[in-house]
Amino acid sequence: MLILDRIYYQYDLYPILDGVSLTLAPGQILCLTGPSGCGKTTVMRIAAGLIKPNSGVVNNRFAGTAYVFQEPRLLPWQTTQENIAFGLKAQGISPAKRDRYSQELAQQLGLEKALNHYPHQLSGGMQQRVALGRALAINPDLLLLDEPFKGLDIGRRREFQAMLLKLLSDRKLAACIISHDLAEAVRFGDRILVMSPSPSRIVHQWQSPQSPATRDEVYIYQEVSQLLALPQVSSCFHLNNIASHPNFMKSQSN
Amino acid sequence: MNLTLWSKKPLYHLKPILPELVGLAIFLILWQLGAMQYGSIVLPSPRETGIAIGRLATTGQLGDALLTTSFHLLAAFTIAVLLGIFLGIIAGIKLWFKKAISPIISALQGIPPIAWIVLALLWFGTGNAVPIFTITVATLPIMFIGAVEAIQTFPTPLLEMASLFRTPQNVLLTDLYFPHLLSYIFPSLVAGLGLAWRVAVMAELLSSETGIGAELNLARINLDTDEVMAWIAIVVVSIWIGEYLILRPLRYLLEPWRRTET
Repeated sequence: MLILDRIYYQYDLYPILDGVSLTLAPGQILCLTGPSGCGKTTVMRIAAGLIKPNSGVVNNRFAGTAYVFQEPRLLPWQTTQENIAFGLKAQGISPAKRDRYSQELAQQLGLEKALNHYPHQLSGGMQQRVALGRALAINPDLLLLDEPFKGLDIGRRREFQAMLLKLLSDRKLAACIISHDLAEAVRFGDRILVMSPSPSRIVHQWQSPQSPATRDEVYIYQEVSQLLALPQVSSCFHLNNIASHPNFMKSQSN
Repeated sequence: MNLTLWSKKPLYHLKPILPELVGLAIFLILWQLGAMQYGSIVLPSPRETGIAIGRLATTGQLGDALLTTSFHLLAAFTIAVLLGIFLGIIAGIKLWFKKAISPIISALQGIPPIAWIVLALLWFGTGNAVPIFTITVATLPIMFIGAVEAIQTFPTPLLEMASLFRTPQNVLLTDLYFPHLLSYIFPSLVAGLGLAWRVAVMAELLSSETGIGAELNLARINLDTDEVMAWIAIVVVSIWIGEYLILRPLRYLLEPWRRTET
């Protein structure tokens, strides 16, 4: 169980987070969504203990938490296999075990041909998968993922999404996923929290009775349009401003 | 190197160093033209220089001088590298130490090597101590600055990643700090070695009776231009050997991740 309770955080006198609360139960997938710069990453960094809030309570009762950053943050001087095994090395696990385990993970992530490649030889998507492998290697029960599908084209994105969903459900992992894409959040989340910027608050919660694996495209787009119809959601993405913009009307009438 | 390719396409294995060879050829042609223009008293031709080198090699002068100068270089450069990196790491970590030592390093960098030689002559007289001391003080700032840079440019995102895995100090050292430091130190090593050669020759020329610098001085006194050119060529070739046959292969060995870099 991860509990953030009334988190307040300010940076240089500017309030960043203004009373953000959330809970994440074991095995559950929580999506944090909202426009760019709304403080999603800050919430996650606080949850991971990377920064201390000015007030509020952070209570992480998961046994092992792993963080996948927005950028892969791989060690440029280590191969795929060594990078995946990094967390295991930090834990002092023997080289033989590390090798076996990281090879197994590379297999699951479709990286078996890139085991001896260095990060600069890999595509962005592959680097991201190596970073995911490194996080999964330490056998966490909570995975924090910051924009894991950033920079992938739609095909790669779907592929990676399916892979991640399978890994999460196979391992019964709880996950908190940041995405600025509402459709992606609806595709993944058991629960969605929509955040508004400056200062950040949670303006809406969404929950689905359907498990992510059974959702189809029709369901996803229906839910997204219903969410966007809510004024508190559309306003935090600045959608109402665009609809009333004179140029927008012009293009509609043409 | 693939030997079957060699037989199919001659010069195939020279392809990677073709630009270097072209540069070298142009240089040799210009040298030859200059020699033809001004005559061998002023500028001996590459061939005459080669013959002089051969002569020096057979008399044993070349071997002795190379050995002496290499000893000066190795001793001084080892001290400079170890001390420079050690001080640089401390300065990179502790800002007050960096501030405290910076004026001294700037002074070391600013003082011309020739001034050090004069001082060293007064302090140590003649012998090995003068070149060793001068090379050390001349190259120390380069190593120091390289090490400070390495520490200060350490990518904090990687440290943050490592901290989330609760990485112990020894793994931080072997897997993060050391590889990063190495990649920063190498260019400084190359620059430092070049400077070390120049200072070594100068210090030997003014203070010692052995070594390449001293031999160069002797050739000058005898007005033997062939031999002067020969010693200069020997220094140049030695620098190439140091960079291409020692430092670069060393880097290849120590930094396998750079092999595939474009």
